[in-house]
Amino acid sequence: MQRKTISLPDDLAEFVDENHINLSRFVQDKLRELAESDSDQDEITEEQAKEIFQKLESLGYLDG
Amino acid sequence: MKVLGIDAATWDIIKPHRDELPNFDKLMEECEYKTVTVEETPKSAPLWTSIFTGLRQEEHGHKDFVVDDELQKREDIDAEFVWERLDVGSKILQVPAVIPPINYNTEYEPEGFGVSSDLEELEADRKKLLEKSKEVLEEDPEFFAVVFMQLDRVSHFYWNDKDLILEWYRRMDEVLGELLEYYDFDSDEPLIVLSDHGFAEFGEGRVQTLPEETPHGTLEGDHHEDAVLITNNVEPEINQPEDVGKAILSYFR
Repeated sequence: MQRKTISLPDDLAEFVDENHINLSRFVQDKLRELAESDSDQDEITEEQAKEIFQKLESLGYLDG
Repeated sequence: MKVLGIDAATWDIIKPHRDELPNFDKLMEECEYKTVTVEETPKSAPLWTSIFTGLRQEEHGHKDFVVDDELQKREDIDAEFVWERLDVGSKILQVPAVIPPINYNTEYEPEGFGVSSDLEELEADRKKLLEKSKEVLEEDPEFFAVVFMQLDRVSHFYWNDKDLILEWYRRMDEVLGELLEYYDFDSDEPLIVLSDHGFAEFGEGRVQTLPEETPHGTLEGDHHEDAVLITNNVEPEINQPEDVGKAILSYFR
């Protein structure tokens, strides 16, 4: 696993200490959430991909 | 920083009709402008990828919307786009490196997946993308980019109908006028208005990018390697598409 260093303002650092938050785990979970929401946004269905493919074929993009 | 892309716009139409295109005319009065003669393949997918990664086509390796019968997706491009590298608030709309075009930090669903050839659908998409762009610009993002692709589709199918082509340049001029309401020409904010490639009759360009006959109909024109570039407060100088990406990175670093 790769190590990355992050900086926190004093008040948030105190909050992390006071609440015994596992910062590494917390950041990993948030990043995973973000990565998954990004990929959801770009996802197109197989049906849509087929329609785009047909449109591009009709416009001559596949003859190049 | 603002980057306004108009796929396939050519000086061959803009320069002789400046009096009918007041916003292009204003840009030419207030900014620097030139022709960028694309050295690599003048196809939109690799060009917009170069423009927004800062890499030449041979470096990012992305060749087209479809490769080996596979529709290409963002993850098929082995390169980082500038907005993925910058630690600034970026809002990106409709960059046609892939189909459907790429959005970042905002959502937009193009009419006909961004590859329509129907004039009514293209006009609906132009208006819808203009409204969405204005909505995003109201948020005053640090880095904003949008690409209007409709002119490319119209040019491919109607290049010989110069009245229609000019009408679409007027519509793109109107787009520029509305978007430039959000740009202060007296500020030091960088502005780039550009096309990825130009347009011409078949055989005039260095490379034929599409067949003349397609299942949809006969194409009347094709890409030309001479692209439009208008800049204000931008450095270093842009000579090739990838220099745009380098200029964006340079400004924010």
